[in-house]
Amino acid sequence: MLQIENLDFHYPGSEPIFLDASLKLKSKTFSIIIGPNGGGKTTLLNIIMGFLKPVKGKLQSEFNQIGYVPQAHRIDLEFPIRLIDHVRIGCIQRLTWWGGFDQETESFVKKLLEKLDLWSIRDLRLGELSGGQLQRAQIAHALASNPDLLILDEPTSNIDPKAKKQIMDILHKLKKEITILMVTHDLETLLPETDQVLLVSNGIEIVEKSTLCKHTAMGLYEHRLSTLGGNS
Amino acid sequence: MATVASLLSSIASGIMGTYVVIKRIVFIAGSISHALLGGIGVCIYLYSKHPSPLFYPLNGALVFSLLAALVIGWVYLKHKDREDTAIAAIWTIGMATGIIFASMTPGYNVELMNYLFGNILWASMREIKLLICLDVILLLAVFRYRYLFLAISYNEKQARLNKVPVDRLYLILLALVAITVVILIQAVGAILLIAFLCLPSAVAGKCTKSIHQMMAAGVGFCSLFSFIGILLSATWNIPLGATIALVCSSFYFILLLWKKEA
Repeated sequence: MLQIENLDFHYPGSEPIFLDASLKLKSKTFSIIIGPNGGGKTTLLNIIMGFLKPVKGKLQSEFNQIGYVPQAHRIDLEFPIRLIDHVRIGCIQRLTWWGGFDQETESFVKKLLEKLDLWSIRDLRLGELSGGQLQRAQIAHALASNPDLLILDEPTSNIDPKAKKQIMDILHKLKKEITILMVTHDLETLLPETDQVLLVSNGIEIVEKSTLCKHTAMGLYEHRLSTLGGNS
Repeated sequence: MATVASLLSSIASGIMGTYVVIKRIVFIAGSISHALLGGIGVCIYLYSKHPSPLFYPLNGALVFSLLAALVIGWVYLKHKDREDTAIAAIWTIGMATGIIFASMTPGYNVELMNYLFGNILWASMREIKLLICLDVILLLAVFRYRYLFLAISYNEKQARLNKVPVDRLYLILLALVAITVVILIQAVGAILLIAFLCLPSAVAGKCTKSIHQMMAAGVGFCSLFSFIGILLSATWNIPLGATIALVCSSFYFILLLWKKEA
């Protein structure tokens, strides 16, 4: 479980992004974060991952290991790394004293790549992968550390419907085993899987699925506007 | 002797150049390579007063380059927004110290010039032994830390989540870059060193799939460029360090144009 209470946060010299915000993530649930650009979605992820310290408030986490899938455009496609090495460095905590990996870890990597249908392309450089393969490679890297919380930042953006479905199938299976927190704009596909929707727009608002007028982002924004009195 | 020194330099440059290129720390390597001139200047001065093996110029270079690496690393980790200013400050402090101490040592300016522009042809047996020791340290460290360096070079954030000691490893990486710079100073000199350290690895990076292939190709390209440099330098009687730097740059731009055409 992860709990944030009365969170205040602002970057030095800037307007507050969060004021008295609270959030609760239960174990083995699937939560999604939606909101406009610049609303604080990535800031919230960075606070949860411990890269940013809240100005005020309390963050309690029972998660031991966090896996992180960054936005696709943040991935350096020029970087000389093969898919298999990318997954190996996800298991870096299993490194042996001589700086390599033992047989057990190598079989774990193989199984993980097979599970995500990546084994046959393991020797390709990340820059040679298609959008969908690249996202699955990122998920494989994140899962290699055996996380109990998986954070994904827009993993289904800019990929074709088939690749999107593959990722959704993976997440569907995973949600029985670990907690998933995902930033997305792709509500139509995701909503049926979701336990909790968080609207992050200079604050954190929990949105009940049942209150949504439409399964679209616009529906959620409309919902927020109505709760604010329709003035923003 | 020049061939051996050239090969030893190529091993160090191909391996560490790969990290310098992928971690995008070219200007840090440039700053370290100029800062070590301070150590050389101080040692030339001290040797003229008290001739002792302790004050051999490469010893001073090693101490100054390690100090520069640690200071830059500390600034990067603690005050990231000031990193470029620190790089420039270390760059100039080292050079200024070297110039002042060399000017206080009559007759030693030629030696300082050799370190500035490099001349692999005057590598002595003592220096070859030092290069071998430094190469061995480098190879062992890179073998031990290969996946950890890969993790912090690829994505620091993910590495931190995986509990990798990113700060410590970054300092170790910079210390190894400092050692490499000392190895390379004889081949191409402090001023042109950055071309020999980065460009062959950048060329290698364009035609390889993994970091290990990039290192192997980097060593190959460094050896090839040094060999061509030595050949051209001897044929036309032009300075060796500058020739090697120009060969590296030419190959890099040819490859860029060729890749763009393709």
